[in-house]
Amino acid sequence: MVRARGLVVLTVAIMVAVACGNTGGGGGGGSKGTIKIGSDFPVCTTGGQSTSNGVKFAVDQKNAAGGVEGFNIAYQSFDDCRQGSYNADAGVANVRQMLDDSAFMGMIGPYNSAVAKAEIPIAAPKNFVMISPANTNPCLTKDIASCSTAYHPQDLRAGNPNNYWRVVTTDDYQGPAMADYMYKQANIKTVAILDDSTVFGVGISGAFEDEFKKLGGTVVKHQEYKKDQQGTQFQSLLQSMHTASALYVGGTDDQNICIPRAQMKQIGWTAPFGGGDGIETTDCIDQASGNETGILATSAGADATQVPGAKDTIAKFRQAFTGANDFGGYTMQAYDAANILMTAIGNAIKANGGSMPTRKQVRDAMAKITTFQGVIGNYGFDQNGDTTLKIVSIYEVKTGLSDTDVKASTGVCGKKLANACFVWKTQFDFAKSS
Amino acid sequence: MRSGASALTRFRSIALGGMSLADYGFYILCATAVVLLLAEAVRDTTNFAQTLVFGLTQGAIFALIALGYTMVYGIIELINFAHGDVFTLSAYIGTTILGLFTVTEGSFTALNLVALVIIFPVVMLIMGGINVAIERIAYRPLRSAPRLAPLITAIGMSFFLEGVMFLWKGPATVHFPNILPQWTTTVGGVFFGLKDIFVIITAAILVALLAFFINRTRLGKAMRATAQDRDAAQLMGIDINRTIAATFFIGALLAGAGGVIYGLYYNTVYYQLGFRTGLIAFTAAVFGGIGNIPGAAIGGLIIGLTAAFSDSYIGGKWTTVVIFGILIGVLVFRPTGLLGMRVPEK
Amino acid sequence: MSNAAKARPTLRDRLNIRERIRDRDTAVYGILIIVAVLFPLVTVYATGGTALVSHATRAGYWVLLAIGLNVVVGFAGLLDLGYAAFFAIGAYTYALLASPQLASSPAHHAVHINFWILIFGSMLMAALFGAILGFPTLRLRGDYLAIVTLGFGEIVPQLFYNFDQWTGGINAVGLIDQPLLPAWIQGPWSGDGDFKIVSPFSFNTDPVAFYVLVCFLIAIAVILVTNLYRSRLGRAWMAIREDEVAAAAMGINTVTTKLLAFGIGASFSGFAGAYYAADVALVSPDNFLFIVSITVLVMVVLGGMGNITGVIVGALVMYYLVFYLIPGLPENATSLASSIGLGSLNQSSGDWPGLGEETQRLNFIIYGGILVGMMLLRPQGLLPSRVREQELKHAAVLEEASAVEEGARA
Repeated sequence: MVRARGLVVLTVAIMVAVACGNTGGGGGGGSKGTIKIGSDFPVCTTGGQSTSNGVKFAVDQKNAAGGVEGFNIAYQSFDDCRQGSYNADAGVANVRQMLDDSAFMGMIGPYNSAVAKAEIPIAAPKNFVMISPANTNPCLTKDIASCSTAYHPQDLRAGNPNNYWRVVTTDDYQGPAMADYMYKQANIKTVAILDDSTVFGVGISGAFEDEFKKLGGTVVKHQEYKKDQQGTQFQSLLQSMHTASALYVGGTDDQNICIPRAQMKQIGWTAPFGGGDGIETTDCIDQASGNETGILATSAGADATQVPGAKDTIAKFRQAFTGANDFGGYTMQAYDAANILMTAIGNAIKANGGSMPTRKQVRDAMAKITTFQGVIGNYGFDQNGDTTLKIVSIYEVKTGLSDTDVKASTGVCGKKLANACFVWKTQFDFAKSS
Repeated sequence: MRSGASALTRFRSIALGGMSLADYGFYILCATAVVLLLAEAVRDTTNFAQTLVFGLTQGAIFALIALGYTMVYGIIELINFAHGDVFTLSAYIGTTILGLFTVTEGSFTALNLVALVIIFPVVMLIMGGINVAIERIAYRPLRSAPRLAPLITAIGMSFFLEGVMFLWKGPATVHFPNILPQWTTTVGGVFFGLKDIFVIITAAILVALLAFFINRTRLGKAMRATAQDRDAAQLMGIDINRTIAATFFIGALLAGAGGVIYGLYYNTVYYQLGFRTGLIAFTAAVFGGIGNIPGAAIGGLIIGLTAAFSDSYIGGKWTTVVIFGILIGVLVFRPTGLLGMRVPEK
Repeated sequence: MSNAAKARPTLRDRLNIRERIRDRDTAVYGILIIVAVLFPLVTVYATGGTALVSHATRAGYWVLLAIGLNVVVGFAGLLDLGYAAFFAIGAYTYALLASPQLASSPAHHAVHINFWILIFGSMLMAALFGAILGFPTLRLRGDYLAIVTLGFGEIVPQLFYNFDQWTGGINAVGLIDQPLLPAWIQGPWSGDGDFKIVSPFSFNTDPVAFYVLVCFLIAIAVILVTNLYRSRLGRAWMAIREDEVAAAAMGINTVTTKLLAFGIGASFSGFAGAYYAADVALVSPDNFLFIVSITVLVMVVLGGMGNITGVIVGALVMYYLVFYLIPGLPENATSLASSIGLGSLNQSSGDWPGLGEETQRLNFIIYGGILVGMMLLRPQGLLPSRVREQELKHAAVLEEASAVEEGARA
């Protein structure tokens, strides 16, 4: 019985701790009050964490500069990880929590398209603005035939005005960009495709496959794996694909998508290796260790290092966040997304005569933003909420770079090999061609 | 017990229409698999042989982990879910220890050899110690508790170990230095290297040592006795707690070696690797007949080969279905695994 | 053996025990009902929103799952490590037959069957698959059965993934129909105050409506399971759990009895699956992985195997831990630190990633530690079945006695 009492005490202690935690908080204080913005990322992954850093950096900068129209901005990062990976259910719970607190005027996120699919229907009726820095699945906004699911994006919003915007262009540009590059510029006629069975991986590799076939190329084999089933054992999968003259991977580094690159060497397969923005990361270079050179990656958006002004922001960010994994492929996108949201909130405050706006006013203000000068480029939004900035950049890993070259690169370098970095190669502007 | 056994046998033969039918089905299943594989082997020998190499290396590692599962299960009937994480943790410790040496990656130096010789016993002993501690903390106090209570603490320990690795090195993949000789060759179109040979030979040596230990030494005998009948073994003067701790220790030695071999071969590990790998290894142990040492080794090899052939010939997304489909099929026809003894549960 | 005979409780003792069982269970049910009624009122009043109620609706399907798994594991003593498979089958049955999904499948025709019919359809479907899996494999003993269920649990979500023509694969089935109440059923739960007097009342993702629904479902499940437990079948399950050979010798058809346990257990999972699909409105193969089976198993064992109130409490406690307490820890730690003047801990500097981030990294350790700790403190579960508790005590006494004997001999 003594033991049982111990347990009760423990439980009560935990509950008290939580209760205290909930009532505490709410530090800081602007002159007029506090407006909250949230984010919903899988913070347990490096990708989610570095993206969250971008939002935090933007909010800190804004508050240091006096906040938005006299209001202080409080940022709260929600985590949609459950037991190690993103979870749509957790994302929904986070959005519900934000909706309950009337101080929340909008959110940045989510990170994963599958989560967005679950969250939009809940946020839309409440006019809750969502700006995703990383969702690239076209089916969230566009009514196109290749979305194999049966619904239309307007159904997701259930007749409510659009509440979802994104600052990255979609897979149906990223995949084709790499297909064009491989087929036309690198003169590759046969490829094999490997995807990681996530919404992102399946989507982007499907878009690549369609475009590559349309150009006249041959897809030798399209294999799929799941991280938790495969471990790091890819040789047999690669064996079935090794007759192709290049490998395209659809997936992200947190699903181990770059380990096959290292193992290509183990099975004696030398061929180009390309993928989407999910592999333009530090972890990817580390996973490919021993065979890093020549990894090709696309990235949605213009290269920050190619945009004047961005370098400055990145340098400041690096001063504030010094960890090796603090900067990632979507950090600057998240930074821009947060600034866009805060601009919309500012416009809404102005429209409301300088006092606290409603969510609907913020949504309406957001819908009116047609152009925004961000770090990555000059954004515009179409009526679907998609960005009109349709630049896709292509990067390549170069090894043995000098220190100045490393600084001039994207800054995405290996942890182990600090002089192996992604270097900008070329870019495709789909806004001009279409 | 004896009368129970015969009742069970009778009952089973009624339900199935005789024992021979089960064997008949089992042999048909095996024959089909062999014929299909042989057809592939004739059609494209190089591809077949290459996949075989990958399957063997993969299977050798599964076998090492499966041995730990099967030993623990044999002695205390616990599915030790934390075992897979012990395996991963050993790779984490291994890479940290290698960090202390200035090893050269990509080529083989004398220092690499020294590091290689040192790392195996060191990691194995550390892991042995950790596993004995886990047993002491999480399983021994529950020896007379309901049967599922230690299963839950095993799951808890699994999360705990994953948490330790997460806290230690973060969520990203961890690089394991590539210090083996990089020599590779091609024989008849089949590409393989010293790495593959190293994995298979090391695993074979370890399994042979284990078999010798179990069959020939006093402690090995004590383990077998405890596994057969704990109470009787205790009456014969065997220290049960010590024997069980020794089982955990030896299981962890093998998992520790497995982790280092895995790291040396694949060069990348991550904190969640063990949960799934452990699950597959446990499947291999059951496949071979749980509690049966050669069974676990053979089960590991078969699962590794199945995974490799399925990945290569059928497609990655069907591998799970194939592995577990075969498992269920085999157990339907052979209810105690490939080499399992036909004895009733205690 | 003679010891056991001596210590067997007399008839009066047994009657006494039975009375105590009834007492405690009644008390727990009473508390649960009161809490269930007050919960939405209090939380909506206190927080001004329905996020907590929405949490409760999610906790609800875990409770249903735990009640179902308890039939298999707690009553019949069959270890099932692939329970999520039946949950998946239930959820997909509802999702496919009550959404536009099938329009883009080779069937080319969307199906929309009413929730109230389909929830029983899902139940039957899950039970059917339970029987299909159970029929050839229930001859297996002990953990061989466990590994077969584990395999089944691995295969099923992968098949839902692989047959993406029908299920949408990883893109998931979305826009699943909400339950509709007939036009004449109206109540204070009608939503944001606008009365729709003629049109049928739609749940329209309103957490409170789902909360009421899941409470009814749980009540139905509890009544069904309690009656089963007290029936002839329930006693047969217990006999098999204690000693299968003896049970067979006493004339119990062990295969049929185990098959029924499997099928009935699976059917509750199908029940929960249909509810889950309707509530979350998005069903993806990723939601039914091994970790789900494990979590339900932990709920059952932690709550007290074989005891219905125990597993309900276990499921609620585990839900609170896994989905509320632990994910919320980083934020709570951060605000706690800033409110007691340690705000500097929240900033990241050098190797220190900031308190919130650090707590986030500790999540696995905390969860694992809690599991181990709780099991060590209460190996028999939070609210063990009284009958089993007596047995355990009895076994412990026996063991102690034998230890003393041994000591005396030495």
